[in-house]
Amino acid sequence: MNESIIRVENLNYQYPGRTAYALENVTLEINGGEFIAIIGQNGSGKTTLIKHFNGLLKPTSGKVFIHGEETSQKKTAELAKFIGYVFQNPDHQIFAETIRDEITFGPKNLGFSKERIEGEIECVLKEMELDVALDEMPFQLSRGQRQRLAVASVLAMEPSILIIDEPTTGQDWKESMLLMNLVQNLNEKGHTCIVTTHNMNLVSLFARRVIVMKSGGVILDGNTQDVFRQENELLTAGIKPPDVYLLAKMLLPNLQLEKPLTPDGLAELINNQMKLDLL
Amino acid sequence: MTIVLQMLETGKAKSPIHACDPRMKLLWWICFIIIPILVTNPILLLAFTIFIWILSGVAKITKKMYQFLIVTYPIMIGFIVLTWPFFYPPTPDQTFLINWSIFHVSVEGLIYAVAMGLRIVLALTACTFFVMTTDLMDLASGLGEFLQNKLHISYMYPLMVISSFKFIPELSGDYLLITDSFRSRALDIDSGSFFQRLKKLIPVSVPLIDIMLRRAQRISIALEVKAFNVKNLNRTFYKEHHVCAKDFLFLASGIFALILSIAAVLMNLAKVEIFF
Amino acid sequence: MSIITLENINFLYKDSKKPALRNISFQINQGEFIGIIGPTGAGKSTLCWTINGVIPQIMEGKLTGRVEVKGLPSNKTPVAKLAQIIGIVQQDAEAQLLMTDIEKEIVFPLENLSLPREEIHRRLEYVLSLVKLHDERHRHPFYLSGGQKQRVAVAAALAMEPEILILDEATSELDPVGAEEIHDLAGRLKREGKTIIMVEHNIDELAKHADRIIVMNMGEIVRDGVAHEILTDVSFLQSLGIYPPQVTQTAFHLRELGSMIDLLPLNLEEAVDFITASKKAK
Repeated sequence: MNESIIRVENLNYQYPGRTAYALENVTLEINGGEFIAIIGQNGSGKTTLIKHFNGLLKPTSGKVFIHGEETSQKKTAELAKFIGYVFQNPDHQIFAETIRDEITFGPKNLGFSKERIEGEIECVLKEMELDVALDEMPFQLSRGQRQRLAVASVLAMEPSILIIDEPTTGQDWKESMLLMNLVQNLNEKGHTCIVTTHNMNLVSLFARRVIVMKSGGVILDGNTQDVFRQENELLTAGIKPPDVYLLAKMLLPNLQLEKPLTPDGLAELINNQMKLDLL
Repeated sequence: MTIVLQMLETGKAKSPIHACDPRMKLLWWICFIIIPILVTNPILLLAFTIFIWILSGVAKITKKMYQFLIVTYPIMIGFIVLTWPFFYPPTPDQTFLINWSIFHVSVEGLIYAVAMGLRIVLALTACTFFVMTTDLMDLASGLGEFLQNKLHISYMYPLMVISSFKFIPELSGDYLLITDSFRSRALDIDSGSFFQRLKKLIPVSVPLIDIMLRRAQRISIALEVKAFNVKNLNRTFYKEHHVCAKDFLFLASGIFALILSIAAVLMNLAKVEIFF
Repeated sequence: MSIITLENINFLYKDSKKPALRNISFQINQGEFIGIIGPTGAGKSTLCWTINGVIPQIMEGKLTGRVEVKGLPSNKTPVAKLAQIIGIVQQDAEAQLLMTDIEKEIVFPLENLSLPREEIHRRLEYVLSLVKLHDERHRHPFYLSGGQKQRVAVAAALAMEPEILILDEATSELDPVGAEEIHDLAGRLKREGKTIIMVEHNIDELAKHADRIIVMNMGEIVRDGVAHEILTDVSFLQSLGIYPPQVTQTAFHLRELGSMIDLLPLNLEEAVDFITASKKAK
């Protein structure tokens, strides 16, 4: 059994100068190896929550534990050993003149040895399918490539937990799928992956657990398929489940789901039902 | 920089003074900037300062001014008031409180230091009052109208000022995101000496400048698409400014104070030395 | 009645080796709602800029062929004049808003056009009610949500009273609530008679209002036709890396498994109807 690597206890957070709480009484546990999507409208507290995981924000009250240690005593730079945080816009992160410098920045700050760093570079470029020369300028890459470079640069620090904030904004479906598949590979290799996103289609394809936030609190937390079947609750959080779930509800109301639903999957289920009906 | 945003917001409140024409307020402000240059008499300086505080009541900004100035007064004048007495040139006719080797502090020196402090206090109070009661953007466009129609100068300069008040808060948001991303890559920006921290900010500046440059290109396209033309001196100004009696009354208070000051200078009552 | 005409357009960005647009030819009629789809790098934004004159007048490069908007050549007519016929709203809301509040933003282009105050006032009030931001008129954009910022950008573009509005990935950076605001607005503008060109990745939303779809890939137009036909062509869309609506995909697979589904659905209601009907047919 995996012990929880992120534990949040009664977390409350108030931004300085504001009266409303951005996070109210959030309690949850995340175990090693999970693939979690955190969803919710803008302003629901998603980003505020994940910023607590790597210490960018410290609780107003309540506690956040990473690998058993409280974040309030730690600096983000220290927590970077365990948690990689990739920002929504790669241009807020990329600064170096060469791709090599970009990737090695984090590991150097963490004090990795030269050999270890060289090994990292090769490894992450392969993981992120970046077929680029190391002395190329990052700014010349496409948006999708820059996003993958941002992930690679964070990955090079060998974090066990990877947080990616809205990884697919501004990208087309092909690029989004490529990135999410690569993240899934990382998850299969043992990284805990936490993603915030607005794209429900991607959530249903990749996440195994979904946490739904509304007005600073968690209103749903469970398996992807279970969460997406709770249409009414999701609606109160301003979220529409993927159409495939709505269609399933209308055509196969008594369906039991063991894993997330895909269009192909639903077609099979409808087809099987039609065959059964004919008997 | 929410301070920038707050500055803009307070200027939009409602009161008899807020409603005055911003250009009148500008002239009023200029009066109260000239006065501390002419006058060092602490009694006069204090009187004018109190007058502005009374006006703040009319403008309903007393509490806000207090919150800002209670912190800013000490910062701005603390150094001067504490050190100036030690540097006031000692002459035999002064009344000394401390007179030991190189440390000379006289009563005159103290009074002088207070007077210098009050000059800054008056200027600071006037500036704060002005910023908190004026919609700076209206002022910029009002000045722009004046510059264009009377002096035939392009609106470009006021436009740059206005746009910076739009972009600075956003850039500061970008700056926060960028520094957070560097913290997340194990760069401890917040620790170390001043110079160490400055050095750490070098990589941070790259994405920030990149964002600024990309945005600048888009902005120049947007300006052209929105028909902005530097050479157009017939540009309409939507916001109308009507100067009324109330505005003149307000300005008169500033001019009256200025006249008093000039009179004091002429009557040799403006300098603090008259108390020695 | 043709309002935009492109004939044999080829465009190469300055300092670039690969043409961004190749042999583009089509016409757009007044009142149409056109969706432009295609993978990143297909040339969609380049095409938009070619129509509104930013290319080649502001963005440099080599442009050949003919682009006409209401009879005026886009490559020579001043951009500001074209902006009064075609408005554009783009992805990055920040770079489109220049002023410290909404009212000033909308009024800015009209002041630049030296319009009389009464006219500015009339347009301001009209546009504010159209985008439903009447109560927010004095707010600094910093305090607005992404959706609201884009609505302001639309308002500022509409203030110049263009007949045509281009929405170039205007919803890409918005959350679903914000995106819906923009799509609803586009629908309202269509009903008001405006010609809309929408570059969009979200097929589901596009399906609600688009009459016609132009599909681009690698600088060329690969398909141009009726929206329903193109958006339900699952294999075609998938070959370009575009994600068709989930209900369409489901029905497509059902059909592959043997169901009698003739026309594929584009939305939930159609899906329920068509699939239920096919069950009965069996």
